[in-house]
Amino acid sequence: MQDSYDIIVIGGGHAGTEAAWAASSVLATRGGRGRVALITMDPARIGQMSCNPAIGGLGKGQMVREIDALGGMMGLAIDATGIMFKMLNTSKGAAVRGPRAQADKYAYAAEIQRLVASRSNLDVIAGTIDDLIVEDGRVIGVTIPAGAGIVSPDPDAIEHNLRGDSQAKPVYPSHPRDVEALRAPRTIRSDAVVLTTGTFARGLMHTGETRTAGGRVDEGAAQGISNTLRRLGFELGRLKTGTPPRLAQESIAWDELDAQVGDERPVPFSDLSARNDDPGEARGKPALRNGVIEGWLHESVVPSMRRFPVLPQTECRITQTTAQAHELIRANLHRAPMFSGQVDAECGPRYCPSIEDKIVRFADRESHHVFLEPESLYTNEIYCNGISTSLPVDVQETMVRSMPGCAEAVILKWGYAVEYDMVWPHQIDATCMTKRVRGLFLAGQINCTTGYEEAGSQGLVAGLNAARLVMGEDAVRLARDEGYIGVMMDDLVTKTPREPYRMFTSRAEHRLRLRAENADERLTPLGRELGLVDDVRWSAYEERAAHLQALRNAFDRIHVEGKSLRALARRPDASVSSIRTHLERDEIAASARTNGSKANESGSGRLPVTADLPGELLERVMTEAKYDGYLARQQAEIKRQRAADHQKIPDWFEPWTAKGLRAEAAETLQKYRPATMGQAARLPGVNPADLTILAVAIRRGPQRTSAPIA
Amino acid sequence: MQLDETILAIASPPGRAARGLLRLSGPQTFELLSRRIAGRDICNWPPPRGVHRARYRLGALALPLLMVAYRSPHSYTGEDGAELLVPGNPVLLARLVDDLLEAGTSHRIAVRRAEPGEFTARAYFTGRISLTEAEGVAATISATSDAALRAASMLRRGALGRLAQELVDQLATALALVEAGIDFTDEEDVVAIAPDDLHERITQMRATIDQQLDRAVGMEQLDAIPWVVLTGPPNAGKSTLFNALLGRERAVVSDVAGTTRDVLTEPLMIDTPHGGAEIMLVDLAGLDATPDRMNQQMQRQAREAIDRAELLLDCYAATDASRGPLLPEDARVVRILTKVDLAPGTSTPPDALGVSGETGEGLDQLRALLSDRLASRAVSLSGDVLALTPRHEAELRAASGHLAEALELIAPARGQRHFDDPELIAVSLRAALDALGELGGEMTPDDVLGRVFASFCVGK
Repeated sequence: MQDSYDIIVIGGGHAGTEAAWAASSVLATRGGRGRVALITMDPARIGQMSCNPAIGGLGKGQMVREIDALGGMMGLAIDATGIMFKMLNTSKGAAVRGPRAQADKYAYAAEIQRLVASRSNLDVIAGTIDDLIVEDGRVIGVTIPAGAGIVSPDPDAIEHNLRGDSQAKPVYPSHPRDVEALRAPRTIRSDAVVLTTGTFARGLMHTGETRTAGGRVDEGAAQGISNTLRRLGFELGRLKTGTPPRLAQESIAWDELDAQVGDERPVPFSDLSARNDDPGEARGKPALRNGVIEGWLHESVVPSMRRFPVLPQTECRITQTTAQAHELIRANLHRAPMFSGQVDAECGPRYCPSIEDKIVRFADRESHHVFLEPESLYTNEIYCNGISTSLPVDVQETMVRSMPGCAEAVILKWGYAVEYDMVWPHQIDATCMTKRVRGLFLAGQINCTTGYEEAGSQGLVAGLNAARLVMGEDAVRLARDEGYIGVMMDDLVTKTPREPYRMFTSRAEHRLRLRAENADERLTPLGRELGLVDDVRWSAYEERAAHLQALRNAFDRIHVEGKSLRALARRPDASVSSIRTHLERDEIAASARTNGSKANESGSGRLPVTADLPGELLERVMTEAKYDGYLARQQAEIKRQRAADHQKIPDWFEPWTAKGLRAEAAETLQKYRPATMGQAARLPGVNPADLTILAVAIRRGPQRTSAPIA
Repeated sequence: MQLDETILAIASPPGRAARGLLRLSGPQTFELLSRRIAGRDICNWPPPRGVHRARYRLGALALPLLMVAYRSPHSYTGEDGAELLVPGNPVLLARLVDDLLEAGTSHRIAVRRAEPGEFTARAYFTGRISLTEAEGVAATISATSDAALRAASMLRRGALGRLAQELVDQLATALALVEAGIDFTDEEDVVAIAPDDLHERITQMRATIDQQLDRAVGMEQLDAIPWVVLTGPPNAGKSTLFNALLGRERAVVSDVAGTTRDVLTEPLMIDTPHGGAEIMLVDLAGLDATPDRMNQQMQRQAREAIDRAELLLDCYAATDASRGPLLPEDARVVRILTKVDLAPGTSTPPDALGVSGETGEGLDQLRALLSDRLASRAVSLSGDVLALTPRHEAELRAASGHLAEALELIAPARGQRHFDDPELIAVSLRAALDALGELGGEMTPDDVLGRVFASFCVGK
């Protein structure tokens, strides 16, 4: 183990791994020999799906697409391990469609571990941290206890997992080999630390009256980090979340229940994955045709580049709770930790209620749906989506067995609630760096969010900015019109969340722009500039971009009966095939013209070959045509917002010293310490007049007494 | 603050005055004005620095005005700028502002209303005024914005505010139902709102808005609002009483020379058995300042105000009781003995009401008296008719327009079970909600989500 790393990431969940991956990418492309350490309690559980074994959804699916467009891991991992892909809202407009997929949770975690192991500048360390070392308001390293040590990936496990024909094995061991384990505590220096505690900071699990310390079943809690953060002056809060029981598949009358199936032709999350989108011709097609390219995402690293889906596909089943179970729950509410006062945390998410919550809040309902979702292709574990609970085990058992098809159900794991410490997010910037301690970044549930996608997105932002900090470059904040990631980061730092934050499409005022399908055009060029996007992804992007440009030109150029193709595409009856026919006719006419003349000077502006045109790109340009008018209307507002987002509020600015600022505004500015005028403008209770005063005070400069320089 | 945008604002004090002043500043000032203004001595745009006689095309009307053109850097803000001097009618001024904003939109010129203090702030940013002067800016801005905040909160308590709040509430619920069908379709319990249902709700909301707009009292009809005029000798405490009744200082007076403040009018809410209603409070105090030079025009204004007053509050000070009352007894005249706090021994004559604008003494009785005397007159206005400022009217019209747009999108789906493009319908509803938010309070996306969670069991 080295004495120092450029960046240390603490925690190996969805936030931590994306952070480590992003930091490692940026350092590899731009930072020379920089190294990253990922410290986690149990490396065999890196990338574990603690709750629902699924990725994506409405809003969330868009975030995964954005993570992918920015070179992240989540899209690659789910494409390699998804066992039921479903595009949600297909009957509605493209802006609100969201990809979602069930994963084989063992394969998913193992795939994340394999990707982590593919990075040569990234070490994985098994262990906890004793303390954060902070000097003069900057983080300078961490201390780790005896017993911690570097772990190495197991090549046999990787090979086994790539075959995909049986339960995936962890790539990393839980503990270091004896020779690697530290004999005594040690300090590791680092200029940037990304902290992702998940549910582990003073994690406490509840099942009925039983309480167990820990962030996840069979795992411990991180007891010390909360005190460290408090000592550094952070304001902490406590939240709760929960998970449902898991059942044994063979004990369920599986075939008697209604099936929920995935899409016939699954759409992958990652831009790198193979496409099967030619109607009537479901051939897998490598995303790349340009020969050998330098980068880290070779076909040997990304299985879904060769074929997609990678794993066999499966189905879910649907059942429901019953009135008699509701009665039972009502009679036992006093034994539910959330109602008995046993849980300290004040709020769980309104959109992710436990079954006991549902029964209290929607008392008139006699039944709630429960989705039975396989957690793996090769184990019997079934996730009961819809009955998250912390009721005592006897109540859980009766409730489960009252559900149709589950009369004989065997419960493999009990549902539980978990409460954990978090840091109120007004204390971070939209870069994930804390305002109090330079170099300390927070990502994931510690910032009052919930969900793998939200966590992964923050991890990416944190890892990227940690790398930029150590390279001495400016921080990057994504704008609200650039992506859901930007919306989330901005919401976190300008609003006080009343519950763990989950993404919904309605949170994005630029929803029509922030589509799953155009994430690459929104973010990949930026990712390339920042060093997140390797050559492989970039060349695939450039190929798509050229196609799109040619298509857009054709939409304006080609006219049918006096109407442009763009106008035709707006009509409700327009279909991909009808537009494709027009494109083909134009192509035939053009080639006839070219053959007639001597010179063959086709090329620029024309489609390469219409037959080769991916249907999804054609659909994208049709969607644009449909939203054109709406998008144009938002342009002015976007320009304003961007300008304000680029006006920084300097560190020396103290709200209380700004003359004429209303006390309420000063108080808000003091609490949130916005980094830009844009953030300030979006704070509750800050009005335009306050902003003018702020602008004057900033322009005036930090010296209060010295004479101005004319 | 974005200096590449052109800003505009009414720079004369609120209320009726002899002349109104509209101020513009920013790089596209003249590009904007050229779309509306023509003048014999303006051959080319931008016009030379100086005063120009011109006409403003306001719909079918050609409004004569004086335009003072300033060229960067020789202007107060250091930017290109202009001042338009027009007749001092608040309606007209507001119409002009709306019209210029509209011209900006249709010609893609970045123009917006100035934020409080922004002209001065710009002057500072372009280096036209010094740091010391800028110190004063902040105080001015905060005073202005405080006044604006108070005005907004007063509005919310009024009839218009209540109507807008109700609409915001209904609309937020409708939007929540649409959003639920978008964000939670994978959830068990969420049934997207049926097109017919939504169509009916939106049609009703739009009808309510349009009805109010049809019946609303435009400012040109505001003359129907009963006037209550404060009269009395100089220093009788009329202005103090004026402010005390309004519950706020009159808005900060512009530092622009040439603006008059001879007759000030402000709407005042009074209670009636049917809810709040508006009367117009008129202060002739400005006439005191130059009694000996009171010119004909001013005298005429004062006479007109007194003539059309429903009620005259004839003020005289307890400290100087010999100088009043001024007006003979009349059904319209109410005698007000002011500054009673400064002359504790004095007894108020039976035909007068003793008040103090400083301590608030007697104000409740005065308000009760106003309600009593004017309720019947004001009821006709407040019962089911709103008095709208042009800005509020514009917001209501915008909301109605967005709802119409939504209805157009909903129409093809009528009779069906779901929409093809709920995301577009949501855009229109959101825009309508934002327009109404100016009047009825902001409704954030999180508030809308809250309504979804409250009405549906979402979450797995």
